[in-house]
Amino acid sequence: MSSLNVLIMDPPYESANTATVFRMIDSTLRKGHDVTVFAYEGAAALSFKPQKGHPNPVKGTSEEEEKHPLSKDFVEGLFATARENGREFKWINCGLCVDERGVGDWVEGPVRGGPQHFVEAFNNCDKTLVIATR
Amino acid sequence: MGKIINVIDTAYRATLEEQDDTSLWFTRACKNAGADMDILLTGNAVNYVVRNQNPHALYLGKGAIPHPSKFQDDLSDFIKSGGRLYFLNNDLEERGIESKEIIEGAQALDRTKMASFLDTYENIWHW
Repeated sequence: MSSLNVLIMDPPYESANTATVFRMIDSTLRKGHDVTVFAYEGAAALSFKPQKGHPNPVKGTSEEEEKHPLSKDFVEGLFATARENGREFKWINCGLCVDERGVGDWVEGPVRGGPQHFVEAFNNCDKTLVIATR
Repeated sequence: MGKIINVIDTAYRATLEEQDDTSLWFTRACKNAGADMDILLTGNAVNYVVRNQNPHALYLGKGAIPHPSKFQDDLSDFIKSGGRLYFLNNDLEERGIESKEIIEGAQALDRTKMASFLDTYENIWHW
């Protein structure tokens, strides 16, 4: 068993980085490793609870038919994956990033933190991965 | 956990709204928290070492960006705090920036030396 520390920066619905990092984290947890995530800048909105699905007027689908994916659900799902696999999973939202965006209402699981918590995770993990916005 | 090099390649990423470069800010915050970090500027980010940048305040209706970031000052403070600042000389030359225009303490790195340079670090973070 080892541990992975990941910084992500992209906001929801802007880049393939988000889905990629969710897949990596899910896979890492399923393979029996612990994960800490530091959600920096726009990524602080990934766990924002008021996110809502919508219909797709171009395709003519209703909200129910569309079942639009929500990043908050993926964050909750990662916590569920960690529980099911007996792994430690931490999601730290950058507090200043949350405040400037007004996205402080989160699904259950994430905690507020700052760069010092990322450094702490860096010092205690086996690998750190920084995935920055381009 | 060893020494970290922050390779900053993307410049001016929301720097007006943030009044900071988010990667530089994060680097300095981590250094203050005890991380052993240096910086390598590549691509457009080499422009951050130009000494005479003078961004003005911006007013948009009732909104204002009163304190736009002065990257040269942020980087000089980073050097004064013990961090080492490098820039890719080839990228500086491509942009017509002369060495006399850059801040004191910034060290040039040639692209041909980049691999061996990065090999001296245990951790590479690419921004």
